[in-house]
Amino acid sequence: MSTRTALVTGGARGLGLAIARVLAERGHALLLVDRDDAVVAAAEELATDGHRARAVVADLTHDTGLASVVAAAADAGGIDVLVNNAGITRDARLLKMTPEDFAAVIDVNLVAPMRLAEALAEHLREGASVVNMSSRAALGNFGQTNYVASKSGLVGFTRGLALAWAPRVRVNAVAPGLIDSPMSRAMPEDVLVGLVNKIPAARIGEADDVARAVAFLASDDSSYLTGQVLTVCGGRSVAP
Amino acid sequence: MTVVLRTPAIDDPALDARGVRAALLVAFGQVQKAIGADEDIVVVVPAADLLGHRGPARAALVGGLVGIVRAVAFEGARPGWRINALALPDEVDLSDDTAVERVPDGLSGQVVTMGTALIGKVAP
Ligand SMILES: NC(=O)c1ccc[n+]([C@@H]2O[C@H](COP(=O)([O-])OP(=O)(O)OC[C@H]3O[C@@H](n4cnc5c(N)ncnc54)[C@H](O)[C@@H]3O)[C@@H](O)[C@H]2O)c1
Repeated sequence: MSTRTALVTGGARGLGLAIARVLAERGHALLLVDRDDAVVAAAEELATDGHRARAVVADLTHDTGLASVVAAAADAGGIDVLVNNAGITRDARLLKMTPEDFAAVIDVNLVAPMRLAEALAEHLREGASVVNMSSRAALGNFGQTNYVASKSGLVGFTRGLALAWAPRVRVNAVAPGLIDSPMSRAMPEDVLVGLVNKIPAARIGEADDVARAVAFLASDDSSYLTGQVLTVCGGRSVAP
Repeated sequence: MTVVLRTPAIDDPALDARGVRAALLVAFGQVQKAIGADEDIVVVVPAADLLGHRGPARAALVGGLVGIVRAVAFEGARPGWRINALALPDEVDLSDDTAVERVPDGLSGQVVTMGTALIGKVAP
């Protein structure tokens, strides 16, 4: 069987790096994309561990960044898995949120995945899988009108693209809930404990919980799934 | 009073990612202004776009609009802001104000889906 190639955006750290590691362990060659040049060290570390990984330093909100990712995909001979993971937050209460705060989050979390998917369409191999990183917050969250709009928009895009590209390419989304990350670690202890108490699974999620869900959607184990959202939130999205 | 928001870009067959961005930015400004003025809001969308039946860009735009509705309702639960999405079937004109009058009082953060086309499908 020929090697499958996975392209993961936002792969320099956090969930993107965890996803890249799980996909590498499952035999994928990796293209790691990030605007932060720490992605170079991340790819080198994967390579040191015996995996095939190449870094692309690119800002996905710029035409030149998109072009360099497309060139790397062409150079790799095509893509089997595209994980649109790069994302940002810029929180503010509704009446204090500036148009710039709103647009910046839409640009990275929604416009960039849309443009990247479109630009990579001809490089996606038959049977490829696209996984878009949404969020449990797409269902609503405080002080995140921009983020919720972007992640809910990404769910809409996932459904529309799944229908448009079926049966050649599958398109699904993962919606993580509260995950152990620099953001959650920065919360006051009592706030974090209060949030964890609302999670039926009675714990905060780990990056690997998300990475394994992405790997499932990337693999042929999910070959009958398209247009779906896999919510990885320990049950919080259905709890009272 | 209820402010009714419609997004003309939703009917643009050539809508692309940049058009989605521009339309969401306009909607965000309109919602901010209406909430600042203590108005209730109904955002009118085509039901077909909730599940992507008319293409990915339109689905992204409608998903984004629904996200604005849900986020603003979440933040406004305590102060009592009222904002909902009204999803209309193909046979109802999006400019039909009588449909808007059917959104019940007291709702917030909901997607009120009219027509039968989405019965038996994923709840958007
Ligand atoms: N961490 C969580 O709890 C959580 C929960 C739900 C959803 N998510 C989503 O998961 C994804 C990853 O989250 P994370 O916590 O690992 O975030 P993170 O901030 O640790 O990593 C995001 C990466 O994306 C990169 N990036 C941002 N803008 C970019 C751009 N314009 N071009 C290229 N790269 C860019 C950053 O440099 C960074 O390396 C995001 O989409 C986030 O919204 C995270």
